[in-house]
Amino acid sequence: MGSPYGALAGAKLRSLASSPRLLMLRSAGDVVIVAMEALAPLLLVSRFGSIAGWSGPEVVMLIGVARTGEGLALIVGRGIDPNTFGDTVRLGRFDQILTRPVSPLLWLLTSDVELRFVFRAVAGAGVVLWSAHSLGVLSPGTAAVLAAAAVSSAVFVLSTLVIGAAMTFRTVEGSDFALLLSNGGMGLAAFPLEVYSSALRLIFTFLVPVGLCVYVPVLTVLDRDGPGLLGPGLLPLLPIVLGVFGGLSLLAWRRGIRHYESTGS
Amino acid sequence: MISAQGLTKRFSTRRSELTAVDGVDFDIADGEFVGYVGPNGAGKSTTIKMMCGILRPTAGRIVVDGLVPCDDRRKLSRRMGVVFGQRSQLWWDLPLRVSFQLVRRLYGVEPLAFQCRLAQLTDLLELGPLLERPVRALSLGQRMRGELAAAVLPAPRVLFLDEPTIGLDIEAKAAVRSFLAELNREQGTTTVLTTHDLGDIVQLCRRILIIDHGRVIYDGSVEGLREAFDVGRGLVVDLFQEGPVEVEGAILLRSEGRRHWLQVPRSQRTADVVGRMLASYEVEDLTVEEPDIEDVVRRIYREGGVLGDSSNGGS
Repeated sequence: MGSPYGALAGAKLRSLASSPRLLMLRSAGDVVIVAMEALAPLLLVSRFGSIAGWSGPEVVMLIGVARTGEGLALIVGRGIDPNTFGDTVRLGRFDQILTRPVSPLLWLLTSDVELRFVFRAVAGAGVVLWSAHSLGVLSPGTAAVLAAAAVSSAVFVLSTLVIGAAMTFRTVEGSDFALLLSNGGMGLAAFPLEVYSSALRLIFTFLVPVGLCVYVPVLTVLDRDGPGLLGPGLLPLLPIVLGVFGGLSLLAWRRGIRHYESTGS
Repeated sequence: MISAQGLTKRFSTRRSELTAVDGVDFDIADGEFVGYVGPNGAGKSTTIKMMCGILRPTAGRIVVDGLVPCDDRRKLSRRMGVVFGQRSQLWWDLPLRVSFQLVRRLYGVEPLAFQCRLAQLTDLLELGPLLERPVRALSLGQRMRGELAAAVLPAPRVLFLDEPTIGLDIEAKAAVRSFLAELNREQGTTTVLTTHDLGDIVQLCRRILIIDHGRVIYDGSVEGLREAFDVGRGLVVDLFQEGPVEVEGAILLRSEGRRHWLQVPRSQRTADVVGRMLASYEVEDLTVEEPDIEDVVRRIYREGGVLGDSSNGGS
């Protein structure tokens, strides 16, 4: 790769290769967690019949999409993960990034790539495929929608991380809010939005568009309508709303860097 | 090369406001080697960070090589090298050579120029045996040589060094100093150095800027510092007999048994004072000492001196 960012990612991968057992252990952990999470609704449904009218495999599809997206995002997002980035700022490493002829955001995204999340994404994708197959809805068309949903979810998670990182410039603890958005948002998306109040549904569809990234595409694939406004008809809005959300997160980042005050020497 | 006018940085929290740099003015010409010194918390690092584009000034103006650092950060970073003594810019888990290759990629140095430059630096800094070692396995002195090489690989026009000799032993310090001197001499790299080690200043810098409480309190030559602060020479005399000592034109600093330390202000001729000393007392041994630059700076810190041999002195 010609860009310096490829070289940065390559350097991180080389360091990772120095401890392959740790990488394998963590990756296995990620796969197990996704599998267990997918089992939970199946158990719930076998006891209660359905979750807000959704069958077990249908809920599993939501979980799978959310986890695939999250896995994809975290492969590059670890550098701006609130915990990691808080340290980067506190220990003055961000100062050094600013002295390099690179985009600080791209530096952070590429210099801390984390392979274990590839396994989370793969496990998520496996879960999605299983549910689509067992529901008999797998086709090139639905696969494309599901792939778009996973990528959109990844963009959503990255955007929330960028917002959190931008807040870290102001208060080192402010990024807890971003964790709430990304983890909370993805946790929320793992259930059919029917289980939430209509106000929450609107917030998490249009303001924090996690519902648009996960729930609406799955509705489209399952060819069913959700409560209120929600339904496959909203799918065309996804790129627009997500674009605005992502754009705002980049604006917050730029503002954050302007207000960056470094740390003592 | 570098020009600061009324450069000010205030940090404000909800409760208090701290002025770290308070209206600093200076001009640094192409190829100068300037020491930027002051006590802890004086505003040294904050100034350096504004020069590198890390921090945005609250007021005033800073221009480095024709660029406003925080607006043209990426453009400027291609022309500057930075070394923070307490932080590593290298890739910890990877061989030193890989860090250099990454620097090459980040700064877009041509492969041929890179090979040539690396060979030169390897030679100058004796990096040969270290290139294949992971950075984490290097000693502090070895690592600092690596940091310097990485910082100057892209042939920067200006070099900012924040405590580059901190924690190094004498030998490693000497290696770092001779490298920096050579770089400045041979390639005309403008260099700004902050340090607590006044040995660095005396050996490297023709010019020194002293900052305290965010203001420049001295800007001038290192030699000028001794005169400006009128420390005078020191006299150490050993007498044959114990007893009080009093000589016109000298100030007694302290006594220990038969040994006495005196100070001769610049207004007095040392030879006259020594003559009077020899006439009045039975002297076993006598030495004249040039004031140590460290003493001078220590005194300035303590007294917050307000002097200078150029226009930027007063505050």
